[in-house]
Amino acid sequence: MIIKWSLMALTAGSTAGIGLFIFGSMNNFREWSGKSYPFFTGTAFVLMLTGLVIHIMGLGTPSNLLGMLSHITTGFSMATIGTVLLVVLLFIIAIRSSMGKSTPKWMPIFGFILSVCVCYGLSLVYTKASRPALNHWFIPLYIAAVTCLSGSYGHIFFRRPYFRSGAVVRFMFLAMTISAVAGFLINLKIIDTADRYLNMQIINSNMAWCFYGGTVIIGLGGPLMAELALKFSKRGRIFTLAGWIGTFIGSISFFTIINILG
Amino acid sequence: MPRKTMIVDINRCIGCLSCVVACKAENNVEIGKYWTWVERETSGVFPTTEMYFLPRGCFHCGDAKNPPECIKVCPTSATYKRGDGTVLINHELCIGCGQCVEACPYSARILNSGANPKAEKCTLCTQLTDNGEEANCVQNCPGRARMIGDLDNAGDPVTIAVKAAGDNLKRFRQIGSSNPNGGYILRNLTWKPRANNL
Amino acid sequence: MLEMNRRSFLKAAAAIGVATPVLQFGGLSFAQNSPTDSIRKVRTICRGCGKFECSVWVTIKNDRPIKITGDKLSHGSKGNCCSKALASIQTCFHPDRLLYPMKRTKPKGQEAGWVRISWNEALETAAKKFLDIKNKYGANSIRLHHGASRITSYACQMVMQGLGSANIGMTAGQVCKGPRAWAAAMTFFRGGNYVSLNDGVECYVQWGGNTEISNNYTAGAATVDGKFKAKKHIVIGPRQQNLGAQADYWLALRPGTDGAMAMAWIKQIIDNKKYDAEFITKWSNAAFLYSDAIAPSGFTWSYRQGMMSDSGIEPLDIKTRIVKESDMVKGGSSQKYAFYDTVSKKILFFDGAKAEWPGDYSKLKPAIEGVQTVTLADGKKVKAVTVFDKLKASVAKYTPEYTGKICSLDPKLIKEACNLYSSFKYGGGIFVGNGLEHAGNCIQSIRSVWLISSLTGNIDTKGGHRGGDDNVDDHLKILPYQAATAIPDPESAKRRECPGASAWPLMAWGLTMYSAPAIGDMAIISDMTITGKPYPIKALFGMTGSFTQNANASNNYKAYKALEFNFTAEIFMTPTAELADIVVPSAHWLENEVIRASQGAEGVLGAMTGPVKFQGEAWPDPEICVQLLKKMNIPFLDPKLETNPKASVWPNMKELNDRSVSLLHDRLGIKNWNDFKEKFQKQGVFDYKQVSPVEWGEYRRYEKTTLRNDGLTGFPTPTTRLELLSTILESYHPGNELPVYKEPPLSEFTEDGKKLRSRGYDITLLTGVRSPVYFHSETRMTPYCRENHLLPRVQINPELAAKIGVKQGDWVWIENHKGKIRQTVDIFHGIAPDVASADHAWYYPELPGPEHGWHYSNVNVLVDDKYRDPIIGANLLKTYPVKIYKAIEGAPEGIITSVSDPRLKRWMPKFPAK
Repeated sequence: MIIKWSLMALTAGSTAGIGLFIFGSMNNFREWSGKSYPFFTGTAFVLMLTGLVIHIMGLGTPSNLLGMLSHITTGFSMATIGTVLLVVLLFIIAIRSSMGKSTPKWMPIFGFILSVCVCYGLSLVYTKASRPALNHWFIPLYIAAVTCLSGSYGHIFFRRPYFRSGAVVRFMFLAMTISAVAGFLINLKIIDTADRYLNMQIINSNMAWCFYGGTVIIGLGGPLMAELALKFSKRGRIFTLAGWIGTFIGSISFFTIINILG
Repeated sequence: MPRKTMIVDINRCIGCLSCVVACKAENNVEIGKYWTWVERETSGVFPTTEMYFLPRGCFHCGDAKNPPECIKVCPTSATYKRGDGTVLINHELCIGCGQCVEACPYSARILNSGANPKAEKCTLCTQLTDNGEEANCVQNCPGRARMIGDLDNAGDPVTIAVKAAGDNLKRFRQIGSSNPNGGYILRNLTWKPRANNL
Repeated sequence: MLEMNRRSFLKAAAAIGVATPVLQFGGLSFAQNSPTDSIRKVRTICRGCGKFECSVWVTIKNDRPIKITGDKLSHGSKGNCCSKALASIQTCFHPDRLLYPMKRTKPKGQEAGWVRISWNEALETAAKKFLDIKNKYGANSIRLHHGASRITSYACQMVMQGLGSANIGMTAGQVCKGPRAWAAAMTFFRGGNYVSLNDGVECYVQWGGNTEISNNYTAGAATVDGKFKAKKHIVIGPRQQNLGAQADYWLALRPGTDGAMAMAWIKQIIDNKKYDAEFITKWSNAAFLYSDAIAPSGFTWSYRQGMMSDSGIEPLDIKTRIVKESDMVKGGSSQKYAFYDTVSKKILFFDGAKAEWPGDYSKLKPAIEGVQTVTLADGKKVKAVTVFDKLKASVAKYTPEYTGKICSLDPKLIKEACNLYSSFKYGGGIFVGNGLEHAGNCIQSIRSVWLISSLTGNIDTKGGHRGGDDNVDDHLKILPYQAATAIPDPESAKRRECPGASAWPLMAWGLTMYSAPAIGDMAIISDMTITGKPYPIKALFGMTGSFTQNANASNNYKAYKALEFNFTAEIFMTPTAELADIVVPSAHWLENEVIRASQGAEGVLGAMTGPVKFQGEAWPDPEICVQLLKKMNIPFLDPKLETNPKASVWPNMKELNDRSVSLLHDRLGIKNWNDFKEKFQKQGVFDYKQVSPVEWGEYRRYEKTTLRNDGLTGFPTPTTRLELLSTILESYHPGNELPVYKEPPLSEFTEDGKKLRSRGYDITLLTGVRSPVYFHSETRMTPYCRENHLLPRVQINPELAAKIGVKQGDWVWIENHKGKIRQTVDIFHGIAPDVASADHAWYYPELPGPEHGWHYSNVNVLVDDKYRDPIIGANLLKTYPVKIYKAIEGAPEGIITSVSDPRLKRWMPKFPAK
């Protein structure tokens, strides 16, 4: 299967951006003080816009977006259109905050709903009945976990932890990511014997390094190292960056593998 | 509700690949990509082995009420089911996202590699069949193994052949909402479903 | 269709307002054509392979062919249109096609530095060179290479005849069709090897061939149709075949043991009394008495084979131990054969010179069994047995159990299959393919099969051995590619100078059979080129032949490099053409206009109608030959058609075509070539059997005088009877007159099937199984063909694959005592674990000249020209002991290994600008 790099870009950009956005706007469900978080919105905006632009370039022309309105219930349309709306929303928020205006409460709420839609859409894109090996809970779980994990690292990196119990929450997200990857592997190697042919590709193919190196070692090892560092070092900000980048690389290589299999 | 599709009498298939080339020549299918292709199934221990050839392609699954996966995932509704049951792709709407290619459980679709790629697959040669001619693969099949007909029309010779085949009609199993209409007639030999169902 | 890209098509379609929404790109819906487009369909005859004349429709849009489909009206091909035919537009308009005459500027063996020249220069140089070499070394120093050629190549024989060379028949006939034709001519009649499947065969026996893929004598579509119309289907061959997988019986014998199997069938049939006693008593030599106690004697048999002129008679000295009148009576005839009549209880004589039984046959009852005492002319009394008893004795050993051991097969299967076949009164003739011809001792094994058909009476019956168009006496006169008739046939002495004639005494006789069985030894002529003995070979006239496709390709390569002058006509720059001094462009079948008659028994008569105009400066093959002969000032004589000897102007292609139909004027109600073409265009192919009802339309022609051309009844054999005991073989190869089974020359088994100590080569290699997308080495550069069979494949059993540790698609070395080649593994259950089947004819057009990688995967590198059939000299091509092991090196460097290789796309057709 050809790797659709444009779809990969959308997936990676949107999940990372959404994570930042959700965690950034966490306290704004009560009240938004625009000036405080330009990095959050800015970085989320840049990540999502980059992913979206690559995605749209991969599809040909922007006018193709209009076509997607005709079948909005498909995962692909939902993820694409949702991301477009989110990017617009983030742009508005960023402009407003740079102008010193506060953000109305409906905006983060609407953004949150859109984020859920995009994540749901992406899950649909990657889970298909045609590929039994991939048609499982670990895909939505992985998407949700990676989104939250990268969001929480970004959150610490850009600002002090909002939650007092931040480490516990992060650890929960990390556990979600690990279980999604483990579920994926177990499903491939043990449970789904019907899909042997696909399984062989990940175990034996020349892309196996991508999975084991990228998703497992960097994607899971990076955050774990970051957690340890945060635990024992007071000035662990740089490690949160490492955790964040690790999560990002891990998700890219995971979706690459899924692309190859799918 | 018409369900036009292709049925192949595998006992008459000799693996000559005429259909493969006929399809490519008629539909200008890219080199290295196929709308129809032929697989060889062999099994057993020599000399008590069995062999048959399996011409593959789109099964034109489902019906208007239960559209197949390819239609369900198409973000622009470019893939649609025509009134006669043929699953087609409107190239003006297709944005080449490849979702249908991944969604088809039977690998029947390809994405061409033009500047603006489009999804492609067997059309049952509508450009010929709509004008009363036979599809190119049907026309040039030396074994007369391939046939196209409407399975919901009791008078259609293909439907009659399918009825007569009884248990000898073999189909790939339903996956997701893709429920193949197209299938095979295989007598005397053992039908071997493939590992990933296929 | 092919050149238009999707975008431009969609735009064009939108511009002309298609009623339905623009759907997925479809090829050439007629609804999508503009009203100003001119679209016409032309009927023509395909030559995508060289084996059957399938009638096809070519759709032409604005002078450009866009589509080829089968013609369902053809009774012979039944709408067959194979992958090679369907891809032919790509071949014809290939960007690398050879379109202009070229000459080389650099020495042979390196990049030739081809320079375009005019036709005139090409022909003048060639004419001068050929005549110089003839004057210097004698005419025999010029040889032919008679390849598949695009309108069959018989015209090229005329160039050799014109020059007076003995090397007129350099074809592949020695290993293909020749052995079948020879065995048939020795047993019943030349061409009797052909069986018409469309006739309706009740029990379809496919022996060592798969016509569904090879199209050999019968088109693929007709094969499937015939199989399903037949009541039973038996397949004999070591590999599970495509249609064979659907057979009632598959006798998967050990490669090369077909002879033993045939003898087991003969024994079964005789033991169960399933033979057609009435037929063999009257029409075969079964009842003739034979005595080992007398010295062989006989007469000189000077029979003119159907198509030859009188100079084409090759007299044979027949010396047989069949008891003749001359043995019993002083001054008796040596052509009167003794038999015992159970009515009169006397020994009487059958008159072979008149083909007559003594008196009224209904009052005779010749005994086909029993021992008689015969009093010889000198008064000595000797025992004599019937030929039928001799035959019975020769197969006595071959019980199903004994044969089962030889063939590594369950004896029950042999018994059941044979009983099934013989349970039909007239089950039909037996289809024999290359499998038997390539496995050593082929004349014996094939003749044994013919004896099965003979005993069961399936000779010239409906579904039986019906012969081909070459039994119709006027055949050669009709066809212009038989312009060979424009120059008298060579004399017998000349024929005996051809390579191999001294090694195989019947070779000169074989040459009189014409068509592809007209042979010369391709390996010996290579040796002669290198050594100059017994006479030197200095120049070659090649007509789309390929040195890589003959035994011992490496030796041929040396020989071709050593030639002083080589003039070759080709369509593509093949490894063979790369060794030419001048190469000229041949026309493709889409361009040619010529009459066509199918080989084999289906009897298709039609025409190539030239739907496409000649590309570049390509010429039809006969035109090349005629122009070359003209340049050499060789006169046109045409003894058969012209009574006026002054008519010595060489005809052009149109005149050749007009002459070709001259004998059909009355039969078809036509006046000239155009009429013929139009009639064909309108009504489709003609049924040759209806066109020549007396010569071919009738059954059991041996009862009349049609099988012979001297007014006698019976068969064109020395005794005029169907020869269960071949007097020709008895005379020239004593000990071979009755079936004898021998293991193939390199076999690792004894004659009764015991394995000998291995010499390290444990796997028996079959070669040359047909690929549906290729005809021998052709179309390796046609994208639609190549992508479907990208790399050379060797089929091996999963058990063997596990043993040598290879997976599907891995490259392996195949090695024997001659050399080694690389092919990819195809794991296949339908082949024995100690047998492998390798592709033949591979070269890589994508690799640079002059070699184009011909030796990387070409199975003829492994073929040893030492191992021959003792009678016809056919090379051993199958059953080589080899070893197979993984090639760590992988693919030969630079070849196309993936369908996404851009070189495949570059090979898409280029149409000339309007």
